[in-house]
Amino acid sequence: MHASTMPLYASAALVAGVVFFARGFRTMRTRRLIANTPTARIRSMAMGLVEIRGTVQPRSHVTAPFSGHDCAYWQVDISSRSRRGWTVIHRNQSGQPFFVQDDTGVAMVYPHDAACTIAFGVEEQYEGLALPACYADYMNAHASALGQLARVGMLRFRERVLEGGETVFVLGTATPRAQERVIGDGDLMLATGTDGAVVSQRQTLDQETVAVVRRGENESTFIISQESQKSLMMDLGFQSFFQLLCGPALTLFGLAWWLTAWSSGRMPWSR
Amino acid sequence: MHPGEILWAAVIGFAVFGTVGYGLSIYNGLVALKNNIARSWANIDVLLKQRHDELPKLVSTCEGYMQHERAIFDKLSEARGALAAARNIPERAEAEGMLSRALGNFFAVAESYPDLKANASFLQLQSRISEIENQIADRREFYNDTVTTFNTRIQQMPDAIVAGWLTLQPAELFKADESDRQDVEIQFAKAG
Repeated sequence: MHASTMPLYASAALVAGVVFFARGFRTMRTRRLIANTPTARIRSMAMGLVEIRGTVQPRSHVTAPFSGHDCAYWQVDISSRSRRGWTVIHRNQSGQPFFVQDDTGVAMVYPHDAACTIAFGVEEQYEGLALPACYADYMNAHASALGQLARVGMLRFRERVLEGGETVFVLGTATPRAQERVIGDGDLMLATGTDGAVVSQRQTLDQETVAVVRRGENESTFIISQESQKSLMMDLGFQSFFQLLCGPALTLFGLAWWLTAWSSGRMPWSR
Repeated sequence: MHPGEILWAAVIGFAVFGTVGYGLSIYNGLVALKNNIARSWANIDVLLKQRHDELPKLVSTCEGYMQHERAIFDKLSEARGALAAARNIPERAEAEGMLSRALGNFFAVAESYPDLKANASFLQLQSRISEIENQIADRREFYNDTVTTFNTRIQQMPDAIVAGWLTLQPAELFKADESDRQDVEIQFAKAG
C-alpha cells in the first residue's frame, strides 16, 4: 500500500465503518422480521406483511436477456474491471408480475424493488470490444453512456433467473387484488389457437389469485429468495454479525491512523 | 485530549451504541410480536364475523325444507349466541368449536334432503361457509404460530431480560375444545 494513498483509505475506513455498523442493525432487524413472521397459507393470508412459500408460475411470456430462457423473472448486472475489482455499471430486472402457488391458493408477486437472493444462472467475462451478439445487443439497447464507454475493457455479465416450477420464499406486503380484466399476449395466443393449454392455465391462475404481494408503503422489507427461511436467516445472521464487528474495527482503524498522523505532526497537507 | 483517549472514547462509544442498539432491537422485536398476536387474533375475528353473517342466510334458505329439524336450528342459534357472548380466548375457542360442530351436523342432516341439495343458493352458501371454515382453521394455526414464537422468545436469553422489564406474560394458544377431538355424532329426526 503506497503511503500517499493511506489518508484516502483511512478516511474511507472511518466513514465506511459507521455505515457498516448502521447496516448491521438494519440486517439484524430484517432477520428478526423473518423470524417473527410465521409462514401463511396463501388462501387465508391477511393483508399487510406476509411470508409465503410456494412454486413460481410465470404470468406472461418473459425471456431472460442473456440466456434466452423462458422464465418468470430475471435480474442482470454488468460490471467493468478496474484496479480495485469489479464495479457494477448497469443493473436491470424484469418488472412483470408472476404467480406463487402453494397447495391452498395463488398469489401474484410484483417483483419491482425486491431484494432477491437468487443464484446466478449465467456469469461470463468478455473483452468489451469482442462481445457475443446477445451481450452486444443488450448493451446497445439498455446500457448507459458510462456502460458504452466501459466497452474498451473487460466486462462481466451476470444473470439471475427464476423459472416456472421453482420454489421461492417471499416476504412482502399483501394488498387486495384490483378487480380488472387484463388483456395480455395470452388472449392473442388463445384466439389464434397457439399454446392453448399454457394460456388457459395462466388464466385460471389469474382468476384464482387471492392477493398481490409487493413492496409495502409502510413496511419496505420485500424479499424474494430461493433459499429456505432457515438458510436465509443464517445468512442474514452472519451478515449482521460481520457488519456489527467489522464496522467499528474499520472506523477505529481510520481514526487511529488520523490520530497517529495528527499526534506526530505528519498530517498529509503539512508535508 | 490525548489521541489514545480519543481512541478509547470511540471504542466505548461503539460498545455503548452497540449495546443500546441491540437492546432496542430486542425491545422493538418483542413489541412487534405482541402486536402481531393482536393482529392475528383480529384477523380470525374478521372471518368469524363473515361466517356469522352467512348463517342467517343459510337458516332462511333451509327452514322451508327442514321443518322437522328444529333441534338442529336451535343448536346453531345457541352456538351463535355463545360466540357473541364469548369475551376471552378460551371462551371464544370453545364457542367457535361449538359453532363448527353445529354447522357440521347441520350440513350432514341437510344431505338427507334431496330438494335442498339441489337448491343453488344452498350449495353456494355451503361452499362459501366451508371456504370460510378452512380459512379460519388456517388463521388459527397462524395465530398459534405467532403465539409460540412470542412465548419462546420471552423465555429465551437475552430476550427474557427485556421481557422481564416489560413484564410480558406468555400469550394463550387457541386450543381445540375437548369435544372437537371426539367423533361427531349425527342424529336424524324421526319422520312423522
